[in-house]
Amino acid sequence: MQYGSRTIVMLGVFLAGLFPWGTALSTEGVSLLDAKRAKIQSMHVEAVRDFLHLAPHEEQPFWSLYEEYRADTARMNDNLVRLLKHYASNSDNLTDQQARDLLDEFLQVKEAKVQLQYLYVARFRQILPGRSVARLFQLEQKLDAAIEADLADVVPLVK
Amino acid sequence: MFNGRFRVSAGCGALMLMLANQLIAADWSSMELTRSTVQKERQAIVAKFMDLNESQSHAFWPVYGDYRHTVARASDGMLTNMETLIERHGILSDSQANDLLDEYLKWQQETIQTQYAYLKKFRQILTPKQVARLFQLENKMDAVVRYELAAKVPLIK
Repeated sequence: MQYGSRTIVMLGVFLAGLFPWGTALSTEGVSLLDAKRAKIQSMHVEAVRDFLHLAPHEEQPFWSLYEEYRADTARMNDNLVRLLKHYASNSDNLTDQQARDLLDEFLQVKEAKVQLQYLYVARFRQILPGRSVARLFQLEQKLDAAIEADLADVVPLVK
Repeated sequence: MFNGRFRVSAGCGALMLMLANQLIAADWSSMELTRSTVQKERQAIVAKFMDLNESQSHAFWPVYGDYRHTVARASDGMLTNMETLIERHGILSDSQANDLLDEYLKWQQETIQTQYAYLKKFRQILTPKQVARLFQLENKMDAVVRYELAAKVPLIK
């Protein structure tokens, strides 16, 4: 099972290999991130299909709800990408006010994502057993961790 | 090509890689050891990249110490849960899985609340750009730790 976990993370990294190592994020880089988001979305679906082991009667209600969840998550991520774009185009001469606003917005998006997870955990529990719901959110977390680690490496520090 | 931004990013990346390598090399039977390794490197990374002047340094480190202590205390339960999950090779009951996920979400929420609370304190000591850089550094280090933990903790069966 540990092999499975590492495999998922490596798949995430393979997909999320958005930037060469050590390359600072640029405006072009953020556009590349935009282009990769569809693949990231399909990667989530693929990992969930391979590792969630749904019973036949769970399939239809699950995929319908999961699609809704991913769409809401994508909307949250739109806000993060917007912040990254704003930062990438202003990082050389960021003002104190911009730095303050960016950090405030970043925390707000993080908080909103947790609230979204709370909402969907309750809804997934209506159609899946506890272990399946926990495994689903573990899968999501593992893929997000790979993508976030990749992004963390390339987003330059505020000067 | 090797401008200041690249050097900072690459330098930070190198430190992150060093931290990740240390985590991989660490004895994973003990999450406590992992945490202490991360804590030790975390302070060194923050010291290297924050460019604090003397008066800022004097005020910053006690608050930062409190912040890390608060975050670590909130993480205690999650680390125990992860350790249990590893020991049980991912085998849990539905009820245990529910509790685990609930605690994970609660922990995430508490961590954000702690960040909000300390954001105010850091803004009384540092410039807005320095505060943003601090949270960026924390976020980068957290991402490395989450990535390593994600690879180590088995999927719930």
